[in-house]
Amino acid sequence: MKNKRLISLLLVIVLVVSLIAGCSGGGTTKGGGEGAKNLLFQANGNTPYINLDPSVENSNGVMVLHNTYEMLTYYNYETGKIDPMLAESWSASEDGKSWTFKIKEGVKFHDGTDLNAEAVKKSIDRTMELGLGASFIWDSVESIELIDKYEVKFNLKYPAPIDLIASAAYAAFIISPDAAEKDSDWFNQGNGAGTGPYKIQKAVAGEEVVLEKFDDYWRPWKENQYTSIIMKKVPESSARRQLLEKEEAQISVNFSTTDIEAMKKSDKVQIVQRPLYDTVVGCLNTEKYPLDNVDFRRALSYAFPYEETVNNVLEGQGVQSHGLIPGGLWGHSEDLMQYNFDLDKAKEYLDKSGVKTDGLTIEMTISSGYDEYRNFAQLFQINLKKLGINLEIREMSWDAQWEKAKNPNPKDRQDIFLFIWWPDYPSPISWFEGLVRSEDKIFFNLSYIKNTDLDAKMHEASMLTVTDRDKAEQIMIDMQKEIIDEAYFIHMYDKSATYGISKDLKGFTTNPAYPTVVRYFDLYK
Amino acid sequence: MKKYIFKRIITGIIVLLGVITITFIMARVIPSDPAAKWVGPKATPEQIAMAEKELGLDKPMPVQYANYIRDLLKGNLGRSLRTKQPITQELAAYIPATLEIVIFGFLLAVIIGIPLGIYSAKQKDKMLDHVSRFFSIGSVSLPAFWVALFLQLVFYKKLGLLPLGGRLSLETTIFYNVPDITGMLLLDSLITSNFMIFKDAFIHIILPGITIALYPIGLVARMTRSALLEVLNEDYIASIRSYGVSETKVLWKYALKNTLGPTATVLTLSLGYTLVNTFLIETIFSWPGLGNYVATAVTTLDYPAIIGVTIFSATCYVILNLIADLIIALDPRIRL
Repeated sequence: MKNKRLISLLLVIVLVVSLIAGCSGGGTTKGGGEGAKNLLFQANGNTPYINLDPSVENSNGVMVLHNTYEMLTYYNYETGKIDPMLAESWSASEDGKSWTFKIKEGVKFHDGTDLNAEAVKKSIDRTMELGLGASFIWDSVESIELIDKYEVKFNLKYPAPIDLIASAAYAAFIISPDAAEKDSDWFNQGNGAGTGPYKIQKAVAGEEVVLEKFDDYWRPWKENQYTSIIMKKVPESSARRQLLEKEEAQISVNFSTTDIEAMKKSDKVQIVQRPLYDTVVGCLNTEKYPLDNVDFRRALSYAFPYEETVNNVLEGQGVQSHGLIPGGLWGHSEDLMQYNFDLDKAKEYLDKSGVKTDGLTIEMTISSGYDEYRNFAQLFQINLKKLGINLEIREMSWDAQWEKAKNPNPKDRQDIFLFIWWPDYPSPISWFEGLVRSEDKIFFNLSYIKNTDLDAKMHEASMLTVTDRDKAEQIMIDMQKEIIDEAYFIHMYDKSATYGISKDLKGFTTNPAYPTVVRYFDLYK
Repeated sequence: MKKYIFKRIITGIIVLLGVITITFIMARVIPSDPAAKWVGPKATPEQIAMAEKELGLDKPMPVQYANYIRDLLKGNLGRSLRTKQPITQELAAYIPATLEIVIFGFLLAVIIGIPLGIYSAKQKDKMLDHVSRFFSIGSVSLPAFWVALFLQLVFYKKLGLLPLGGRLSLETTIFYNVPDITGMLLLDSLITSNFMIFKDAFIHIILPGITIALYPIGLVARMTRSALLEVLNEDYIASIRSYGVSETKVLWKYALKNTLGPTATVLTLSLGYTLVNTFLIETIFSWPGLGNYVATAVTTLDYPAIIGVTIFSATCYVILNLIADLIIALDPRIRL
């Protein structure tokens, strides 16, 4: 008897399972009900945020924060100009050491309070006091002074382009005065109060964020805009692709090349390439034999497989760099010389350098877990082999890679360090100050460049950024000429991002000055 | 018996202490810069130096270790380098999702695995036995990630019957208040009689649940079958049979009882295995559990998070082992 009972129990379970699965299958794959009409789902490979504190977040979370908070200014990468955002207008003193911003009137925070000069002061002061994340962008600020209710003045220690800094992707958000009193934990519970078009409805750390429309946003809403946004972590590339193909998700990014190829054939998905300000460089160890020899470095630069990397490894998700500064950012120049792959020239420079290649092995360190780096490194290895040079590719965690690079003894460091650089705010000076400026203690200058001439020019360009941007740009272009000639780096490529978006989605665009950010307010159907 | 349990608990604690120490040392030996991680990418040297002090990393390693153990005893696992949130709080957020799927898989293993083993033994060398053995071997030997992808392909892409991943559909997440009592959605929605959410959560757990359950189902079925066959060959069964007792009664009343010990042991131990196996499955099904959490922690070398998960997993293993030993000890034929 007992076994009969068991069988019936099993049968009932199977029946219930199939019933539930059967009758609800349709409901979950199709958007149901009125409420779901203006819902947008972005499937993200990574967690949508790490920290929701706008003063602290220095990572993916800006994709949430740029939809919920705003800055004083906004960098328009298409015009190369700075557009007003929460500031209506601004001006700088002649010496560039004091900046006055006129704040927009009639703007409300999510908590109902009005935007004014005091809120601006409180927000930036908070970011500077916490001293976390990208707060160092405000290093030049001595004090912030209230002129009147809607006017605020930045007093600086040294001239700095506050209009550009105020447009930064990180650490430049304006917070409601009440929220500015709270600590990070409060923000991470899903609270916050910015002036952006969306409010956070729900946030699950590491997993998902739900945004809802902010009715009192200062720009008018239209009917066909998206009112509910969900950003969710979906780690598998193939899973993200399937969500797009089934029209469950509208936006996703970062796919394997196989998935990109598959989506190109889909009639539901369109593939969109968007530029980034991320540049990939190989830092050449100028303090170690044989890379201390400029002709040897030039030989290496001619042996790198630029075209193959861009076309075959990246499948078009990038372009070969022109110097340090990526396309679309001021300071970039298409006229700068590019090393191309040319083994004859490489051989010529190798001979000129006088370096004997018998059994010569050089070491390149790359961050682990990235197929593309490994793949182009192997192509580079094959090319160098033809010159009689062994390239040892060492894949290591970023920490291990960086620790080795900071070894006090140049001989114990790598020969080539693969580095990805992006700016803290839309200014080319970041590449020079980060990668080129002489350092007493090794930090990010991993070509170990010590060039006082470049240091002086850098300082001049930095000062001119405030008062005469055109002149500053020219100096930066000249500096790049010298850097290219000295072959301190192998300028590999400028990255781009591959988005898969629904064919019905309109208004989709991204701005390389704001990495990972999609401004949902611009989208409609 | 009491002495035995006491002894086992003490060894358990020693094992745990060993695990903590080794993980702690490993986390420090691996080249990494926790302070740089704490302040985020592209921080200035000044910020890093400040963070070093704040995190107590400027102190000698034995002091750091002593501090860690002291905090641990207070139930404080430190803060994640990446998210800056307390580890205990993060674990509490991720553990329920993992437990839910592990328990679901465990129940499937009991409900399907044991009967499968019994029928297989009963029908030894007949068709059903062959099919069941084929299934058991298949489910143990197929890699879980392959099964996961295969199920997704069939039930999501081809048939459109079940969702691809996640714990709830987007509509439920946005438009409904999801109850949060234990963090296990199936349980919470039942407690609050919210059947709409229960249904949604249930259809989401089916695919990952089956993937997780396959290994223990196969293992339990095979274990039950062989244990049962062994018992059925014993002399006492022959003598019961000679009294003319029906075969069904022999099986259910006299034989099965004696196989439950080994089956329960296997079941308990496979629970530990499932806990680790789920780490991989969670990533494929975008299941917001511990596996998903530890995958990020490992790739970013967030060592307080790694140690936290290690301690949790090790504790589970130790407890499960203890339970398995106790089950064996409950058998009056075994003297300790």
